[in-house]
Amino acid sequence: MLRLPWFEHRAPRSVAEAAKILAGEGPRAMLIAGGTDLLPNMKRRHQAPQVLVSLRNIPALKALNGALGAGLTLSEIVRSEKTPTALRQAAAQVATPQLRNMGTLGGNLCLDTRCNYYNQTYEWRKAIDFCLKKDGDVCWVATASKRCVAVSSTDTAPALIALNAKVILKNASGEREVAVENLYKNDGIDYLTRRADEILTEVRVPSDWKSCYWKLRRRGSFDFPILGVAAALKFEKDIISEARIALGAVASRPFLVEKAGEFLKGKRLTDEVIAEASEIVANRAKPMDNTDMDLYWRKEVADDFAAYALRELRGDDMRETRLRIARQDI
Amino acid sequence: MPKIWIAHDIGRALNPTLARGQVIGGVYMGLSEALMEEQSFRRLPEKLSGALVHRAPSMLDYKSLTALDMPEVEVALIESEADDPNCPYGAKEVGQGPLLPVMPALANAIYDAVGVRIDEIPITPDKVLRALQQKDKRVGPESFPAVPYPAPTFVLPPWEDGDGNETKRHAASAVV
Repeated sequence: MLRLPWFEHRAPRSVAEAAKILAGEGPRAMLIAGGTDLLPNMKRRHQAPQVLVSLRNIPALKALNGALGAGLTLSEIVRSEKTPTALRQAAAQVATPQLRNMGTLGGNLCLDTRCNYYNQTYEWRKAIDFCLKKDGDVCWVATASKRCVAVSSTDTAPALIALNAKVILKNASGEREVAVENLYKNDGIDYLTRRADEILTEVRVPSDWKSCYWKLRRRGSFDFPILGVAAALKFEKDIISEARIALGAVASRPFLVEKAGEFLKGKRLTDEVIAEASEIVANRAKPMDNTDMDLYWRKEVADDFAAYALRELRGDDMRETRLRIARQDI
Repeated sequence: MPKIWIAHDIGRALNPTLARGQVIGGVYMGLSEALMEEQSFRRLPEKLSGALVHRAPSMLDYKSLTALDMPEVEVALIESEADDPNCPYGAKEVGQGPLLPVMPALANAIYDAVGVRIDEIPITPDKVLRALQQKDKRVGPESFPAVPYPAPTFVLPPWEDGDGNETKRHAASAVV
Protein backbone atom coordinates (compact mmCIF):
# COMPACT_ATOMS: atom_id res chain seq x y z
CA MET A 1 0.00 0.00 0.00
CA LEU A 2 1.26 3.45 -0.87
CA ARG A 3 0.96 5.91 1.99
CA LEU A 4 0.92 9.67 1.98
CA PRO A 5 3.84 11.38 3.64
CA TRP A 6 2.97 13.47 6.70
CA PHE A 7 1.87 17.02 6.00
CA GLU A 8 0.21 19.95 7.66
CA HIS A 9 -3.15 20.96 6.19
CA ARG A 10 -4.31 24.57 5.97
CA ALA A 11 -7.77 25.57 4.81
CA PRO A 12 -8.00 29.32 4.23
CA ARG A 13 -11.36 30.98 3.49
CA SER A 14 -10.12 33.59 1.02
CA VAL A 15 -7.58 33.95 -1.78
CA ALA A 16 -5.82 36.72 0.18
CA GLU A 17 -5.44 34.45 3.20
CA ALA A 18 -4.18 31.57 1.01
CA ALA A 19 -1.67 33.89 -0.66
CA LYS A 20 -0.43 35.03 2.75
CA ILE A 21 0.09 31.46 3.94
CA LEU A 22 1.89 30.62 0.69
CA ALA A 23 4.18 33.66 1.05
CA GLY A 24 4.93 32.77 4.67
CA GLU A 25 5.62 29.06 4.14
CA GLY A 26 7.68 29.46 0.97
CA PRO A 27 8.82 26.27 -0.83
CA ARG A 28 7.55 24.06 2.07
CA ALA A 29 4.00 24.59 0.85
CA MET A 30 1.97 23.48 -2.14
CA LEU A 31 -1.56 24.31 -3.23
CA ILE A 32 -4.18 21.59 -3.33
CA ALA A 33 -7.62 21.84 -4.96
CA GLY A 34 -9.19 18.54 -6.07
CA GLY A 35 -6.01 16.63 -5.22
CA THR A 36 -6.54 14.09 -8.01
CA ASP A 37 -3.07 14.71 -9.42
CA LEU A 38 -1.17 15.83 -6.33
CA LEU A 39 -2.19 13.15 -3.82
CA PRO A 40 -1.21 10.13 -5.99
CA ASN A 41 2.01 11.96 -6.82
CA MET A 42 2.69 12.47 -3.12
CA LYS A 43 2.11 8.77 -2.50
CA ARG A 44 4.83 8.04 -5.05
CA ARG A 45 7.02 10.75 -3.49
CA HIS A 46 7.11 12.94 -6.58
CA GLN A 47 6.25 15.81 -4.33
CA ALA A 48 6.42 15.82 -0.56
CA PRO A 49 5.29 19.26 0.62
CA GLN A 50 5.24 19.77 4.38
CA VAL A 51 2.24 22.08 4.11
CA LEU A 52 -0.80 21.72 1.88
CA VAL A 53 -2.84 24.86 1.37
CA SER A 54 -6.35 23.77 0.40
CA LEU A 55 -8.32 25.94 -1.99
CA ARG A 56 -11.61 24.07 -1.54
CA ASN A 57 -13.14 26.40 1.04
CA ILE A 58 -12.67 29.58 -0.97
CA PRO A 59 -16.06 30.55 -2.46
CA ALA A 60 -14.50 33.11 -4.86
CA LEU A 61 -12.77 30.27 -6.76
CA LYS A 62 -16.18 28.78 -7.58
CA ALA A 63 -17.32 31.90 -9.46
CA LEU A 64 -19.16 31.30 -12.70
CA ASN A 65 -20.00 34.84 -13.85
CA GLY A 66 -18.28 35.67 -17.11
CA ALA A 67 -14.92 34.43 -15.87
CA LEU A 68 -14.54 30.82 -14.74
CA GLY A 69 -13.33 30.26 -11.19
CA ALA A 70 -10.27 28.01 -11.09
CA GLY A 71 -11.90 25.97 -8.32
CA LEU A 72 -14.82 24.85 -10.49
CA THR A 73 -14.70 21.10 -10.93
CA LEU A 74 -14.36 19.73 -14.44
CA SER A 75 -17.88 18.29 -14.10
CA GLU A 76 -19.21 21.77 -13.29
CA ILE A 77 -17.41 23.14 -16.35
CA VAL A 78 -18.98 20.43 -18.52
CA ARG A 79 -22.47 21.10 -17.11
CA SER A 80 -22.36 24.88 -17.50
CA GLU A 81 -24.20 26.03 -20.59
CA LYS A 82 -21.87 29.00 -21.00
CA THR A 83 -18.77 26.83 -21.45
CA PRO A 84 -17.33 27.21 -24.98
CA THR A 85 -17.42 23.98 -27.02
CA ALA A 86 -13.66 23.25 -27.08
CA LEU A 87 -13.38 23.63 -23.30
CA ARG A 88 -16.45 21.50 -22.70
CA GLN A 89 -15.21 18.76 -25.02
CA ALA A 90 -11.78 18.86 -23.37
CA ALA A 91 -13.10 18.84 -19.79
CA ALA A 92 -15.57 16.06 -20.62
CA GLN A 93 -12.72 13.81 -21.71
CA VAL A 94 -10.43 14.27 -18.71
CA ALA A 95 -9.91 11.01 -16.79
CA THR A 96 -13.12 9.45 -15.37
CA PRO A 97 -16.42 10.83 -13.99
CA GLN A 98 -15.23 10.36 -10.41
CA LEU A 99 -12.01 12.28 -11.07
CA ARG A 100 -13.88 15.03 -12.94
CA ASN A 101 -16.14 15.44 -9.92
CA MET A 102 -13.08 16.19 -7.77
CA GLY A 103 -10.54 17.64 -10.22
CA THR A 104 -10.70 21.36 -10.92
CA LEU A 105 -10.09 23.57 -13.94
CA GLY A 106 -7.13 25.25 -12.20
CA GLY A 107 -5.74 21.87 -11.23
CA ASN A 108 -5.95 20.55 -14.78
CA LEU A 109 -4.16 23.65 -16.07
CA CYS A 110 -1.35 23.18 -13.53
CA LEU A 111 -1.22 19.38 -13.99
CA ASP A 112 2.26 17.94 -13.48
CA THR A 113 3.95 16.76 -16.68
CA ARG A 114 3.95 12.99 -17.12
CA CYS A 115 6.37 10.29 -18.25
CA ASN A 116 6.55 6.45 -18.18
CA TYR A 117 9.77 6.69 -16.18
CA TYR A 118 8.44 9.27 -13.72
CA ASN A 119 4.84 8.33 -12.86
CA GLN A 120 5.84 5.16 -11.03
CA THR A 121 6.24 4.20 -7.41
CA TYR A 122 9.27 5.33 -5.44
CA GLU A 123 10.66 1.78 -5.36
CA TRP A 124 10.36 1.36 -9.14
CA ARG A 125 12.05 4.68 -9.79
CA LYS A 126 14.76 3.83 -7.28
CA ALA A 127 15.40 0.53 -9.12
CA ILE A 128 16.30 2.41 -12.31
CA ASP A 129 18.31 4.95 -10.31
CA PHE A 130 15.60 7.59 -10.72
CA CYS A 131 15.39 10.04 -13.62
CA LEU A 132 16.17 13.63 -14.50
CA LYS A 133 12.73 14.92 -13.47
CA LYS A 134 13.03 13.71 -9.88
CA ASP A 135 15.97 12.51 -7.76
CA GLY A 136 18.18 11.35 -10.70
CA ASP A 137 20.41 12.76 -13.44
CA VAL A 138 19.55 10.78 -16.58
CA CYS A 139 16.56 11.26 -18.85
CA TRP A 140 15.73 7.66 -19.79
CA VAL A 141 13.59 8.79 -22.73
CA ALA A 142 16.41 10.71 -24.41
CA THR A 143 19.65 9.95 -22.61
CA ALA A 144 21.54 12.72 -24.39
CA SER A 145 18.94 15.30 -23.33
CA LYS A 146 19.85 17.93 -20.79
CA ARG A 147 16.17 18.82 -20.58
CA CYS A 148 13.39 16.74 -19.09
CA VAL A 149 10.99 15.69 -21.87
CA ALA A 150 8.00 14.71 -19.69
CA VAL A 151 4.73 15.34 -21.51
CA SER A 152 2.20 18.04 -20.81
CA SER A 153 -0.97 16.00 -20.29
CA THR A 154 -3.60 18.65 -19.67
CA ASP A 155 -6.66 18.58 -21.94
CA THR A 156 -8.14 21.93 -20.97
CA ALA A 157 -4.97 23.95 -21.70
CA PRO A 158 -4.86 23.40 -25.50
CA ALA A 159 -8.59 24.14 -25.63
CA LEU A 160 -8.12 27.38 -23.69
CA ILE A 161 -5.07 28.36 -25.77
CA ALA A 162 -7.13 28.00 -28.95
CA LEU A 163 -9.91 30.04 -27.34
CA ASN A 164 -7.38 32.79 -26.56
CA ALA A 165 -8.15 32.59 -22.83
CA LYS A 166 -6.27 34.36 -20.03
CA VAL A 167 -5.63 33.27 -16.47
CA ILE A 168 -5.33 35.47 -13.39
CA LEU A 169 -2.42 34.74 -11.06
CA LYS A 170 -2.60 36.29 -7.59
CA ASN A 171 -0.02 36.52 -4.83
CA ALA A 172 0.19 38.44 -1.55
CA SER A 173 1.32 41.63 -3.31
CA GLY A 174 -0.97 41.73 -6.34
CA GLU A 175 -2.20 39.99 -9.43
CA ARG A 176 -1.34 39.63 -13.12
CA GLU A 177 -3.08 38.41 -16.21
CA VAL A 178 -1.30 35.85 -18.38
CA ALA A 179 -2.39 34.38 -21.72
CA VAL A 180 -2.80 30.61 -21.28
CA GLU A 181 -0.12 29.89 -23.92
CA ASN A 182 2.32 31.92 -21.81
CA LEU A 183 1.55 29.96 -18.66
CA TYR A 184 3.78 27.12 -19.89
CA LYS A 185 7.47 26.47 -20.59
CA ASN A 186 8.78 23.62 -22.73
CA ASP A 187 10.56 22.03 -19.78
CA GLY A 188 9.26 18.86 -18.16
CA ILE A 189 10.49 19.92 -14.72
CA ASP A 190 9.90 23.66 -14.61
CA TYR A 191 6.82 23.58 -16.82
CA LEU A 192 4.86 26.57 -15.50
CA THR A 193 5.59 30.29 -15.55
CA ARG A 194 3.39 30.55 -12.45
CA ARG A 195 5.63 31.62 -9.57
CA ALA A 196 5.59 29.46 -6.43
CA ASP A 197 3.76 32.13 -4.41
CA GLU A 198 1.04 32.67 -7.01
CA ILE A 199 -2.47 31.21 -7.05
CA LEU A 200 -4.29 30.63 -10.32
CA THR A 201 -7.68 32.09 -9.42
CA GLU A 202 -9.71 32.46 -12.58
CA VAL A 203 -9.83 31.87 -16.30
CA ARG A 204 -11.19 34.49 -18.67
CA VAL A 205 -12.52 32.90 -21.83
CA PRO A 206 -13.77 34.90 -24.81
CA SER A 207 -17.07 33.48 -26.04
CA ASP A 208 -17.01 34.59 -29.68
CA TRP A 209 -15.02 31.69 -31.17
CA LYS A 210 -16.33 28.64 -32.92
CA SER A 211 -14.26 25.87 -31.39
CA CYS A 212 -13.69 22.17 -30.82
CA TYR A 213 -11.24 19.74 -29.22
CA TRP A 214 -10.13 16.29 -30.39
CA LYS A 215 -8.32 13.91 -28.10
CA LEU A 216 -6.35 10.79 -28.95
CA ARG A 217 -5.92 8.05 -26.37
CA ARG A 218 -6.20 4.28 -26.23
CA ARG A 219 -9.48 4.00 -24.35
CA GLY A 220 -12.65 6.05 -24.20
CA SER A 221 -12.14 6.90 -20.56
CA PHE A 222 -9.46 7.32 -17.93
CA ASP A 223 -6.44 7.76 -20.18
CA PHE A 224 -4.36 10.89 -20.47
CA PRO A 225 -4.11 12.40 -23.95
CA ILE A 226 -1.36 11.24 -26.30
CA LEU A 227 -2.43 13.94 -28.74
CA GLY A 228 -4.82 16.84 -28.29
CA VAL A 229 -5.89 19.18 -31.08
CA ALA A 230 -7.92 22.28 -30.26
CA ALA A 231 -9.15 24.63 -32.97
CA ALA A 232 -10.96 27.95 -32.71
CA LEU A 233 -12.10 30.01 -35.67
CA LYS A 234 -13.93 33.27 -36.35
CA PHE A 235 -15.79 33.65 -39.62
CA GLU A 236 -17.00 36.53 -41.72
CA LYS A 237 -19.65 34.78 -43.76
CA ASP A 238 -17.66 31.70 -44.80
CA ILE A 239 -14.24 33.38 -44.83
CA ILE A 240 -12.02 32.78 -41.81
CA SER A 241 -11.17 36.08 -40.17
CA GLU A 242 -9.17 34.63 -37.28
CA ALA A 243 -7.83 31.14 -36.53
CA ARG A 244 -6.08 29.58 -33.55
CA ILE A 245 -4.98 25.96 -33.44
CA ALA A 246 -3.27 24.49 -30.38
CA LEU A 247 -1.62 21.14 -29.73
CA GLY A 248 -1.43 19.24 -26.49
CA ALA A 249 0.46 16.15 -25.26
CA VAL A 250 3.19 16.29 -27.92
CA ALA A 251 5.71 18.36 -25.95
CA SER A 252 6.38 19.44 -22.38
CA ARG A 253 3.90 22.26 -22.92
CA PRO A 254 0.71 22.81 -24.85
CA PHE A 255 1.32 25.35 -27.60
CA LEU A 256 -0.24 27.47 -30.30
CA VAL A 257 0.61 26.63 -33.92
CA GLU A 258 0.84 30.22 -35.15
CA LYS A 259 1.69 29.24 -38.74
CA ALA A 260 -1.56 27.31 -39.14
CA GLY A 261 -3.54 30.30 -37.85
CA GLU A 262 -1.82 32.65 -40.30
CA PHE A 263 -2.35 30.23 -43.16
CA LEU A 264 -6.08 29.87 -42.48
CA LYS A 265 -6.76 33.60 -42.18
CA GLY A 266 -8.75 34.94 -45.14
CA LYS A 267 -9.45 31.48 -46.56
CA ARG A 268 -12.50 29.27 -47.00
CA LEU A 269 -12.43 25.82 -45.41
CA THR A 270 -12.15 23.81 -48.61
CA ASP A 271 -10.79 20.25 -48.52
CA GLU A 272 -7.46 21.51 -49.92
CA VAL A 273 -7.15 24.26 -47.30
CA ILE A 274 -7.97 21.79 -44.52
CA ALA A 275 -5.37 19.32 -45.84
CA GLU A 276 -2.65 21.96 -46.01
CA ALA A 277 -3.47 23.46 -42.60
CA SER A 278 -3.49 19.97 -41.06
CA GLU A 279 -0.06 19.32 -42.53
CA ILE A 280 1.27 22.53 -40.94
CA VAL A 281 -0.20 21.50 -37.58
CA ALA A 282 1.14 17.92 -37.79
CA ASN A 283 4.65 19.15 -38.55
CA ARG A 284 4.80 20.68 -35.10
CA ALA A 285 3.82 17.44 -33.34
CA LYS A 286 7.01 15.91 -31.94
CA PRO A 287 5.85 13.15 -29.61
CA MET A 288 8.40 11.25 -27.50
CA ASP A 289 8.42 7.57 -26.56
CA ASN A 290 7.32 8.16 -22.97
CA THR A 291 3.56 7.73 -23.08
CA ASP A 292 1.14 5.15 -24.42
CA MET A 293 0.90 3.76 -27.99
CA ASP A 294 3.34 3.56 -30.87
CA LEU A 295 5.37 6.72 -31.27
CA TYR A 296 5.37 6.82 -35.09
CA TRP A 297 1.68 6.13 -35.32
CA ARG A 298 0.93 9.00 -32.94
CA LYS A 299 2.95 11.28 -35.20
CA GLU A 300 1.27 9.88 -38.30
CA VAL A 301 -2.30 10.57 -37.17
CA ALA A 302 -1.68 14.17 -36.05
CA ASP A 303 -2.77 15.59 -39.42
CA ASP A 304 -5.92 13.43 -39.42
CA PHE A 305 -6.90 14.81 -36.03
CA ALA A 306 -6.28 18.40 -37.13
CA ALA A 307 -8.44 17.72 -40.19
CA TYR A 308 -11.23 16.25 -38.03
CA ALA A 309 -11.22 19.44 -35.95
CA LEU A 310 -11.36 21.74 -38.97
CA ARG A 311 -14.01 19.69 -40.71
CA GLU A 312 -16.15 19.77 -37.58
CA LEU A 313 -15.85 23.57 -37.51
CA ARG A 314 -16.78 23.70 -41.21
CA GLY A 315 -20.03 22.04 -40.26
CA ASP A 316 -19.36 18.49 -41.46
CA ASP A 317 -21.23 15.83 -39.53
CA MET A 318 -18.38 14.32 -37.53
CA ARG A 319 -20.53 12.57 -34.95
CA GLU A 320 -19.72 9.06 -36.17
CA THR A 321 -15.96 9.71 -36.26
CA ARG A 322 -16.13 11.35 -32.86
CA LEU A 323 -18.08 8.45 -31.38
CA ARG A 324 -15.52 6.02 -32.80
CA ILE A 325 -12.63 7.96 -31.26
CA ALA A 326 -14.12 9.37 -28.05
CA ARG A 327 -16.46 6.34 -27.52
CA GLN A 328 -19.04 8.69 -26.00
CA ASP A 329 -21.27 11.61 -26.88
CA ILE A 330 -19.54 14.83 -25.94
CA MET B 1 -15.68 -3.09 -31.54
CA PRO B 2 -19.45 -2.51 -31.64
CA LYS B 3 -20.73 -5.97 -30.74
CA ILE B 4 -19.64 -9.54 -29.97
CA TRP B 5 -21.73 -12.64 -30.64
CA ILE B 6 -20.61 -15.80 -28.91
CA ALA B 7 -21.93 -19.35 -28.55
CA HIS B 8 -20.74 -21.59 -25.74
CA ASP B 9 -21.22 -25.36 -25.52
CA ILE B 10 -22.10 -25.78 -21.88
CA GLY B 11 -23.83 -29.16 -21.69
CA ARG B 12 -26.54 -28.04 -19.29
CA ALA B 13 -26.70 -24.62 -17.65
CA LEU B 14 -27.82 -25.06 -14.03
CA ASN B 15 -28.01 -21.30 -13.55
CA PRO B 16 -28.29 -19.70 -17.01
CA THR B 17 -27.97 -16.11 -15.70
CA LEU B 18 -24.75 -16.93 -13.89
CA ALA B 19 -23.45 -18.90 -16.88
CA ARG B 20 -24.13 -15.97 -19.22
CA GLY B 21 -22.28 -13.71 -16.79
CA GLN B 22 -19.31 -16.07 -16.92
CA VAL B 23 -19.33 -16.01 -20.73
CA ILE B 24 -19.49 -12.20 -20.82
CA GLY B 25 -16.68 -12.05 -18.27
CA GLY B 26 -14.62 -14.35 -20.50
CA VAL B 27 -15.31 -12.15 -23.50
CA TYR B 28 -14.20 -9.12 -21.49
CA MET B 29 -10.87 -10.75 -20.63
CA GLY B 30 -10.37 -12.03 -24.16
CA LEU B 31 -11.18 -8.70 -25.78
CA SER B 32 -8.96 -6.82 -23.37
CA GLU B 33 -6.14 -9.20 -24.29
CA ALA B 34 -6.93 -8.90 -27.99
CA LEU B 35 -7.01 -5.10 -28.03
CA MET B 36 -4.73 -3.80 -25.31
CA GLU B 37 -3.08 -5.93 -22.70
CA GLU B 38 0.60 -6.42 -23.37
CA GLN B 39 3.63 -7.43 -21.38
CA SER B 40 6.42 -5.61 -23.15
CA PHE B 41 9.81 -4.51 -22.02
CA ARG B 42 12.52 -2.12 -22.98
CA ARG B 43 16.22 -2.21 -22.34
CA LEU B 44 17.75 0.92 -20.85
CA PRO B 45 20.95 1.98 -22.67
CA GLU B 46 23.73 -0.56 -22.01
CA LYS B 47 26.43 1.87 -21.00
CA LEU B 48 24.24 3.62 -18.45
CA SER B 49 22.22 0.80 -16.97
CA GLY B 50 21.35 -2.12 -19.22
CA ALA B 51 18.30 -2.77 -17.05
CA LEU B 52 15.26 -4.44 -18.55
CA VAL B 53 12.15 -2.52 -17.53
CA HIS B 54 8.44 -2.92 -18.12
CA ARG B 55 6.93 -0.56 -20.63
CA ALA B 56 3.78 -0.58 -18.53
CA PRO B 57 4.81 -0.97 -14.89
CA SER B 58 1.53 0.24 -13.34
CA MET B 59 -2.17 -0.50 -13.79
CA LEU B 60 -2.61 2.94 -15.37
CA ASP B 61 0.01 2.13 -18.03
CA TYR B 62 -1.07 -1.49 -18.49
CA LYS B 63 -4.33 -0.91 -20.30
CA SER B 64 -7.36 -3.11 -20.05
CA LEU B 65 -10.89 -2.32 -21.21
CA THR B 66 -13.03 0.04 -19.18
CA ALA B 67 -16.80 -0.38 -18.93
CA LEU B 68 -17.07 2.28 -21.64
CA ASP B 69 -14.95 0.25 -24.09
CA MET B 70 -16.86 -2.97 -23.48
CA PRO B 71 -19.23 -3.78 -26.36
CA GLU B 72 -22.63 -5.41 -26.21
CA VAL B 73 -22.28 -9.21 -25.96
CA GLU B 74 -24.91 -11.57 -27.28
CA VAL B 75 -24.56 -14.98 -25.63
CA ALA B 76 -25.91 -18.23 -26.97
CA LEU B 77 -25.66 -21.09 -24.46
CA ILE B 78 -25.61 -24.39 -26.36
CA GLU B 79 -27.27 -26.93 -24.11
CA SER B 80 -26.38 -30.08 -25.98
CA GLU B 81 -27.31 -32.74 -23.38
CA ALA B 82 -24.18 -34.59 -24.45
CA ASP B 83 -21.90 -35.20 -21.51
CA ASP B 84 -18.20 -34.68 -21.87
CA PRO B 85 -16.72 -38.22 -21.58
CA ASN B 86 -13.37 -36.88 -20.39
CA CYS B 87 -14.71 -34.93 -17.41
CA PRO B 88 -16.01 -35.94 -14.00
CA TYR B 89 -19.82 -36.33 -14.08
CA GLY B 90 -19.66 -35.42 -17.80
CA ALA B 91 -19.36 -31.78 -16.84
CA LYS B 92 -18.48 -29.00 -19.28
CA GLU B 93 -16.97 -25.70 -18.33
CA VAL B 94 -17.86 -22.05 -18.39
CA GLY B 95 -14.67 -20.78 -16.81
CA GLN B 96 -12.24 -19.06 -19.12
CA GLY B 97 -13.14 -21.03 -22.23
CA PRO B 98 -15.27 -18.24 -23.68
CA LEU B 99 -12.25 -15.93 -23.81
CA LEU B 100 -10.34 -18.11 -26.29
CA PRO B 101 -12.35 -17.45 -29.48
CA VAL B 102 -12.33 -13.68 -28.98
CA MET B 103 -8.80 -13.02 -30.27
CA PRO B 104 -9.15 -14.98 -33.55
CA ALA B 105 -12.66 -13.56 -34.02
CA LEU B 106 -11.28 -10.03 -33.78
CA ALA B 107 -8.37 -10.82 -36.12
CA ASN B 108 -10.79 -12.33 -38.63
CA ALA B 109 -13.20 -9.40 -38.34
CA ILE B 110 -10.35 -7.05 -39.18
CA TYR B 111 -9.34 -9.21 -42.13
CA ASP B 112 -12.94 -9.22 -43.31
CA ALA B 113 -13.21 -5.45 -42.97
CA VAL B 114 -9.93 -4.20 -44.42
CA GLY B 115 -8.11 -7.28 -45.75
CA VAL B 116 -5.09 -7.30 -43.46
CA ARG B 117 -3.80 -10.07 -41.21
CA ILE B 118 -2.62 -9.14 -37.72
CA ASP B 119 -0.97 -12.31 -36.43
CA GLU B 120 -0.13 -11.11 -32.94
CA ILE B 121 -1.96 -9.55 -30.06
CA PRO B 122 -2.71 -6.93 -28.99
CA ILE B 123 -4.23 -5.81 -32.26
CA THR B 124 -3.74 -2.06 -32.23
CA PRO B 125 -4.53 0.73 -34.73
CA ASP B 126 -0.85 1.26 -35.53
CA LYS B 127 -0.45 -2.41 -36.53
CA VAL B 128 -3.51 -2.26 -38.80
CA LEU B 129 -2.15 0.87 -40.48
CA ARG B 130 1.31 -0.73 -40.84
CA ALA B 131 -0.23 -3.87 -42.37
CA LEU B 132 -2.22 -1.78 -44.85
CA GLN B 133 1.02 -0.14 -45.99
CA GLN B 134 2.87 -3.46 -46.33
CA LYS B 135 3.06 -5.52 -49.50
CA ASP B 136 1.93 -8.76 -47.87
CA LYS B 137 -0.78 -6.94 -45.83
CA ARG B 138 0.35 -8.66 -42.69
CA VAL B 139 1.91 -7.82 -39.34
CA GLY B 140 3.19 -10.47 -36.96
CA PRO B 141 6.17 -12.65 -36.07
CA GLU B 142 8.07 -14.13 -39.03
CA SER B 143 8.62 -17.53 -37.46
CA PHE B 144 7.68 -19.62 -34.47
CA PRO B 145 10.22 -18.93 -31.72
CA ALA B 146 12.74 -21.73 -31.12
CA VAL B 147 11.91 -23.05 -27.67
CA PRO B 148 14.44 -25.54 -26.23
CA TYR B 149 11.83 -27.90 -24.76
CA PRO B 150 13.34 -30.66 -22.60
CA ALA B 151 12.43 -34.26 -23.46
CA PRO B 152 9.19 -35.23 -21.69
CA THR B 153 9.32 -37.59 -18.73
CA PHE B 154 6.57 -40.05 -17.85
CA VAL B 155 5.68 -40.91 -14.29
CA LEU B 156 2.87 -43.40 -13.62
CA PRO B 157 0.30 -42.75 -10.89
CA PRO B 158 0.31 -45.13 -7.88
CA TRP B 159 -2.79 -47.02 -9.09
CA GLU B 160 -0.89 -48.00 -12.21
CA ASP B 161 2.05 -49.25 -10.14
CA GLY B 162 4.00 -46.02 -10.34
CA ASP B 163 6.71 -45.56 -7.71
CA GLY B 164 7.33 -41.85 -8.33
CA ASN B 165 10.19 -42.53 -10.76
CA GLU B 166 10.27 -42.11 -14.49
CA THR B 167 8.97 -45.00 -16.56
CA LYS B 168 9.59 -45.89 -20.18
CA ARG B 169 6.49 -48.07 -20.41
CA HIS B 170 4.08 -45.59 -21.98
CA ALA B 171 6.62 -43.39 -23.68
CA ALA B 172 6.25 -44.98 -27.11
CA SER B 173 2.48 -44.53 -27.35
CA ALA B 174 2.40 -41.01 -25.89
CA VAL B 175 1.77 -38.04 -28.12
CA VAL B 176 4.54 -35.53 -27.67
